[in-house]
Amino acid sequence: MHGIQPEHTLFLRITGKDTAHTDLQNVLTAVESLLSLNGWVAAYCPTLARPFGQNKNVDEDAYDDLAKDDRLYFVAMAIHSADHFLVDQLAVIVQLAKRLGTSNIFVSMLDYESTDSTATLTDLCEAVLTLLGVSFRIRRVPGMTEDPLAAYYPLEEAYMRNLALEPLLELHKKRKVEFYRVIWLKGFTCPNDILETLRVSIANEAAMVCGMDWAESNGQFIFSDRWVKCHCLRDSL
Amino acid sequence: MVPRRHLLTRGFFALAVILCAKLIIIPRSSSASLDPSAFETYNVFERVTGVDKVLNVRKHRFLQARMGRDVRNDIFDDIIANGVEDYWSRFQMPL
Repeated sequence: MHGIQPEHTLFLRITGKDTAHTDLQNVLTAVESLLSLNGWVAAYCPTLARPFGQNKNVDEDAYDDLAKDDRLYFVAMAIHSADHFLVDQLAVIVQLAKRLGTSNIFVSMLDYESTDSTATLTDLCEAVLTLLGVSFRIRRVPGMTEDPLAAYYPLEEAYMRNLALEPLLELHKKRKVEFYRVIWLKGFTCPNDILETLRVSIANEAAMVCGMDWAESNGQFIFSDRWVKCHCLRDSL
Repeated sequence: MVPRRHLLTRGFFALAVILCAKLIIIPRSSSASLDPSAFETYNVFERVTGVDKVLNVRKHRFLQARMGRDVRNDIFDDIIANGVEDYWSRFQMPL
């Protein structure tokens, strides 16, 4: 155990005093280029239009009301073979950390038996978050059901999410750390939309706020997930 | 004049007091933890000086943890799996 454990922490350590400065500069440049979001979905965030004229990405609105109080936010994500999603979300997390303060967020990533390059990309996440001084727990777990065909999706999802939330309970139980909001990253979300959602949540004192998946065509907005839409009388809209 | 035997006893006593004081005043550093992945509860010193509820990664190494990364196969894994498979196929498998 102790023989194999340190090898993944070693590569983060910048040794050699004469090169330490340039090494750090290289990594910071890499993080900067990560934030420029070239070629990624997040690069389109400023160009996207929102329905009801919300969140126009005005430059002067820097969400200072969220940043000025030192509140703790818990960012949780469960990744099940979704490496394309992870790189974008890492950039989003870094943006959030930049806005809310690096010591105000905790990132919990759960790699749920991914078979693609998620395992490698979580190494990148670890490196970036370590460098920025963001606290995190990145965890890889084996699947709940051995045979994927026998898996019952809602149960798997619940198990996965509970594991991702474990640090939240542990921090509260052991260190009395209380978080103000939990941010679930599920599917792609722009950084500003997350901040806007937080603002909506605070304004309404909401227990839960959820984004809606809108698509624009010729100035008209279509709501994608129509199947979840229903009246209070339970008939579908 | 103090006898030589008493001097030695006093020396040991002073040493013990210094060690005790050091153990009490300087808390065990959190990075020395055996299990780096588990969050640690507050130690006595932190409790007395006032609880800081901040996520300070430079002070607490356990706030940046990685779990289950290098879970690789053990050398006895195939033997155990064989045994389980054998038991299942001979005694447990429904006909």
